[in-house]
Amino acid sequence: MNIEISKSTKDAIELVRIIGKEYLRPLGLEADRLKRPIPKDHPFYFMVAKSGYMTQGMGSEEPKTSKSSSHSEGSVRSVLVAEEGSYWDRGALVSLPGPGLGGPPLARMGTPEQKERFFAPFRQKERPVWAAFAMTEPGAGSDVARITTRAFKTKGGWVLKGQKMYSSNSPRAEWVVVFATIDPDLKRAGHRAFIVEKNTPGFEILRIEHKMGLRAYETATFSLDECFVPDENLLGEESYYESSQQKGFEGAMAAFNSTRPIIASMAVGIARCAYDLAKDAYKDIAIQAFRRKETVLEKLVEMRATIESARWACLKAAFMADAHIPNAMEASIAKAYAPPKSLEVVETACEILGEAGLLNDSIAEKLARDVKALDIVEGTQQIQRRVISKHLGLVLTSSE
Amino acid sequence: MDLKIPAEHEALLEACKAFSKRHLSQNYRTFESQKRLSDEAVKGFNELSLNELYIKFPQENQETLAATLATFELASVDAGWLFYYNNPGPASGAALIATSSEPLKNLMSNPMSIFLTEENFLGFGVSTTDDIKDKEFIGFGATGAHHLLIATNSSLIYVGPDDCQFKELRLGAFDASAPVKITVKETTTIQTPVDFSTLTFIKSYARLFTSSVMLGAASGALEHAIAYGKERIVFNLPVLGHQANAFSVAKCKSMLEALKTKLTVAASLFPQELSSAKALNLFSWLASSLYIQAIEAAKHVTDVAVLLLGGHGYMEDEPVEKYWREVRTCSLFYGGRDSAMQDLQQLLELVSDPMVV
Repeated sequence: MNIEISKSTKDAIELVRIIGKEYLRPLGLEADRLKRPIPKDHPFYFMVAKSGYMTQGMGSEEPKTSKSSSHSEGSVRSVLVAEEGSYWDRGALVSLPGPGLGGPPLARMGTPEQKERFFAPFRQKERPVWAAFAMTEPGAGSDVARITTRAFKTKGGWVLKGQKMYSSNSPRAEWVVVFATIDPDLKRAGHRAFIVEKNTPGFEILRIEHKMGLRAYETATFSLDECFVPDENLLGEESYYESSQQKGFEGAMAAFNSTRPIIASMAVGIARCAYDLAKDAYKDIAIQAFRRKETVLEKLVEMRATIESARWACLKAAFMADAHIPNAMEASIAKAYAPPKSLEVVETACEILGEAGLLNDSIAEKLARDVKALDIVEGTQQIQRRVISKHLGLVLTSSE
Repeated sequence: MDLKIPAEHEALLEACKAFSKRHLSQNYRTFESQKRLSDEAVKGFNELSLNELYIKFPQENQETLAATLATFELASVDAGWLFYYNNPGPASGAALIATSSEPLKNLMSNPMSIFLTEENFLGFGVSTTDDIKDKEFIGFGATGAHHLLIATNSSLIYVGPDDCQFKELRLGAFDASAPVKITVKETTTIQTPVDFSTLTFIKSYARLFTSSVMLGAASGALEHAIAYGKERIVFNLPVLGHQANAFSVAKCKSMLEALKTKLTVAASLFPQELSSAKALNLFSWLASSLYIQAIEAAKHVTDVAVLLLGGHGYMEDEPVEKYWREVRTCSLFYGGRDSAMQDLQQLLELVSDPMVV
């Protein structure tokens, strides 16, 4: 077993640390205070574009673990970079320009031509560009088989009709990967993934959600009203869906297998931040309130142990993805374990800080609100347990 | 034994429900952004006479029970404003001791009068050290003058408005209470030594109040999640048609019911007189141990409620996220869990199990 990470991954983490301290933390705090996202024309985003960061998440340039290794460490790097970025501010991290959650389905399902065309805007360094992903609907969240956004075949393309919600960065996205169904009765077999480009007639942002935390980026509801999408924007084109009855659904699920460990590791990053706040407070507590010293020290030990076990759960799922080992169960274990455990760590940090954690616009209170979202997005705890149960061969309910 | 809620309190609880329905259930977001209740809502709240209930004790311990249950009821809809308009709540225990303590008595000849104005607020804080200079405390009612009573490990300290510095504060919850940061400046504070039992009683009284807020909020969150879970269909069944979710809700309900009963018992055993250390310790044990359990339960229940609603639970369109924030913020007031645990460690030796003959 080798737990060494490559130099390029270490460099990527270091870069995020520098950016995080200087920009992500202050911008994230400001967005939270003002209750509005970071403006898309903020100079910071142009700087990020210039750095070449936008090529992240395109499924390319994956470094090798070591010279002797047979596989890349792209997922491991994504997990560690996401952890570091979230340490500074998860909301600001997600607001960064790039393909975002739209990247994995395009990388996995797209034809070479589609990848070339839709990833192209992210290779330039002149201006910030975003992409987005949209699956959730007012009537279909965890149960994605229930989506009702319809795709009707028409001459030269498809007409989309429906509504999507909780789509991050979609108001500023160059394109959005939209999942729709050609026939709701076909359930999962009816799913298709489309790239809907910005300014497509019928694509309209209806509202920006007001969230409890993670206010640095926009989460939106949008409608697709007789929205025409050309054939070449059907991800993978028809042949992709003919190879398996549930190919569209599988594509979405495969994307989740890549992104769930990343979401989980973001929670770990937030927990680490809370741990550091509590550790700093311990120095004062040890001097001023000696009766609490032992209690706090014990809590710090538990917090650190929890952070480490959560991180290893994420890294194992990511390592398996890099090594092309099926990781659906491990991805769900990481997602089921790390966010609630990280919330525990943050809440323990708040306890250690006491009322001080509530004063001076403390980050601690914000961390608690931020980390809770990671227990929800990309499948709640219940959904992860469902996936895990299925992989353990446990009998599910008669509704299956 | 009679664990029934006295009939005379039922009318008050009904009035609280009517008040919540009329003034709070639709308007809590507005109150949060405006950092105060509307004039009409304040009028409605005053008609409940809850503040008077809090300052009536210790003449009748039944008043404590009524006030505690009313707080629970109101918090189950919205607790954002309670710390402001129910000013005497947590501080009244401390003020009570102040009236019987010689040096403080002279300074605060009628501390209860402070409660019923919007110009003066009596805040209550807990400090683990006696040196409180430059220490920061949380108060409510940003525009008023603040008096502070602070319980340390060995004494009760009074800080007058001239010795405090105020700054508006963002807490992450309870915005309608207009939270304020109070820093103790160079002081002419008055400090009086207080014995362990009395001091712990003061803190435990604040813990009883915060327990009723947390359990009320958790109860509101759970009711909301149950209503949602019965309607929303996932995987061909209502959310709560799935056994794992139904069991999870059942567990939450059990926790809340058990703790609400304990809340009722603790409030009923509010000491009739301050001279009995045994009575003070028993109340303190019940209220402080309840507080530890209420924190855990309320956090768990609001977590489950948010998860049952999924993404909807994280959005401000739904009240569940508000309950989630309120519980976590409230759990840190007045010294939080650590302070309670320290007191409980000492009480363990002083209180015998009242049900063991």
